[in-house]
Amino acid sequence: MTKVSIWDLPDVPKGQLPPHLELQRTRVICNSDAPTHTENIQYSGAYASMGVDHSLQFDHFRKKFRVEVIRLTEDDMEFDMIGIDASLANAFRRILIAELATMAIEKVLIANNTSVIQDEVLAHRLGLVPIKVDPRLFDYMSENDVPNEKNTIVFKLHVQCERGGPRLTVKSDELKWLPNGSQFLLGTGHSTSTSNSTSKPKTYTSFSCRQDYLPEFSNNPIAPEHPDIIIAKLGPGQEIELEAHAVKGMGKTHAKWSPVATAWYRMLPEVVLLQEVEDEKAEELIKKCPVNVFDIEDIANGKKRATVARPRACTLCRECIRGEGWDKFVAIRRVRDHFIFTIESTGALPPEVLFTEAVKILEDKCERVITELS
Amino acid sequence: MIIYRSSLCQSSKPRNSLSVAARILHPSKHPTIQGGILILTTLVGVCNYSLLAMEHGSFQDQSASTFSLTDEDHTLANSLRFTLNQDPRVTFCGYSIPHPSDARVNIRVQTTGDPASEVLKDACQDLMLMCQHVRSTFDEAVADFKNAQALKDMDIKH
Repeated sequence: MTKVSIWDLPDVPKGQLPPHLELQRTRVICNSDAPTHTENIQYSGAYASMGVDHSLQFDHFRKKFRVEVIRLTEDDMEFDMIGIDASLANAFRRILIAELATMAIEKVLIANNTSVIQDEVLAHRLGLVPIKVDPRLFDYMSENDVPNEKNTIVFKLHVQCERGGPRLTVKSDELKWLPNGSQFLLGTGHSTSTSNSTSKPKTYTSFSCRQDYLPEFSNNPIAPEHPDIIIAKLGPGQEIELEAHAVKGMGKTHAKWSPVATAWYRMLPEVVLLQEVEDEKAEELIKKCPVNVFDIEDIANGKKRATVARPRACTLCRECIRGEGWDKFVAIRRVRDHFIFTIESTGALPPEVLFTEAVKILEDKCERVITELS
Repeated sequence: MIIYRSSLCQSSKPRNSLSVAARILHPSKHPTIQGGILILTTLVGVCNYSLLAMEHGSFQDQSASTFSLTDEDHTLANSLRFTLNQDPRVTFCGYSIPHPSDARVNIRVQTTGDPASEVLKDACQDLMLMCQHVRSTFDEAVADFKNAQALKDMDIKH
């Protein structure tokens, strides 16, 4: 190699990154053996030597950030979040799973259970039944609170399988809402006080009014989200009689309070043909891909060429870059700031409301830190 | 004032501020804090149950501090690390969770000269603004999608 004076070399372009660094900054590169450049470069001065300011300008973020809804139904949604860092997308995901409130059965008072399912297993199964009610209408119950109409929902379940009849499957629609609170009287120690007939008999809850008289529940009674969840199976002569008390809670205490079945994101796959893939090679490429990312198009004089038709379908299985020389033709990458976010709600709140609530919670956390630092 | 559900707190007993501080500031466990003068500001005025945030630093040099936040985890700390790193005044920041069964994160902030607490506050402010923007953009996108969907449904009925 001939010697070149350093002064004859071209200048490093100022103000923009060279293409290979730009690629590393904005893409995760999936090689056939392992992904590379997986870590985010966050430090604002990371590219200072090249005259590139990597700090995030809020105006810039406002300009670049986009949300595109792909699918939205009653209980699930998919949307693209573009132009945001993974740390924020992950914060939203974590809040959705663990820090949003829902109502779930927490206490089960079992009066009679002669089924083969043990009391504690039955109680656990009941806890996992999603309840269709807006948790924002309720308060948390702390340790010294008494169960009242603002923090507790009471359900009754009383089923009996007839002797001589067929076996009975108890489903979640047998959980009947008791808007007036518990019907079980408190133990005998209190029975003397109930003798004065004017006062209400003491039960396990102290409701000051009926829940179904409250305007928010008068037209939509509280019930389990799905009527066909199997709770137990009863043989002839067996009986379950219980009361289930639902309270407000968060997913980080127990997964039964998680308002999402799952919430997850993936980065947008990007499939690039580095050079033309033609004829037999194109046919071979299409056969290699199990999810049909590629298509074939005819070009002039009977020639065929592979195209990338459905990059979103790519699962990054890397089948297409397996084998000798294929990585010269195809490159698979992930776009670092493009998240395909999916939320599956359990039914208490619609998924779009869950997401906005999650963002609000992150805001509250920031506000909390600010008030405590000042 | 923020009152937390007692069931989320590990213990409902009032925490002794000094014992908490001693545990965190023990030099062998916390090598980033040099031996100088340590100040302890309990940043919450009246709070009986827990110290929600503490700053550990020195009087002479306020540009480097460790903030200890209770009842927080990766959710907030990682987002804050991101916004802090975007701030050109920050020379170093990082966070750690000293023990997984303690609901606590330590966020270390070192700056070029501004008080670390001010920089952290600005980072929180930035994060809040970003969240607000995310929320409004998301609401807009959902409304647009619903409108488009309604239009599509009407076309089918025609």
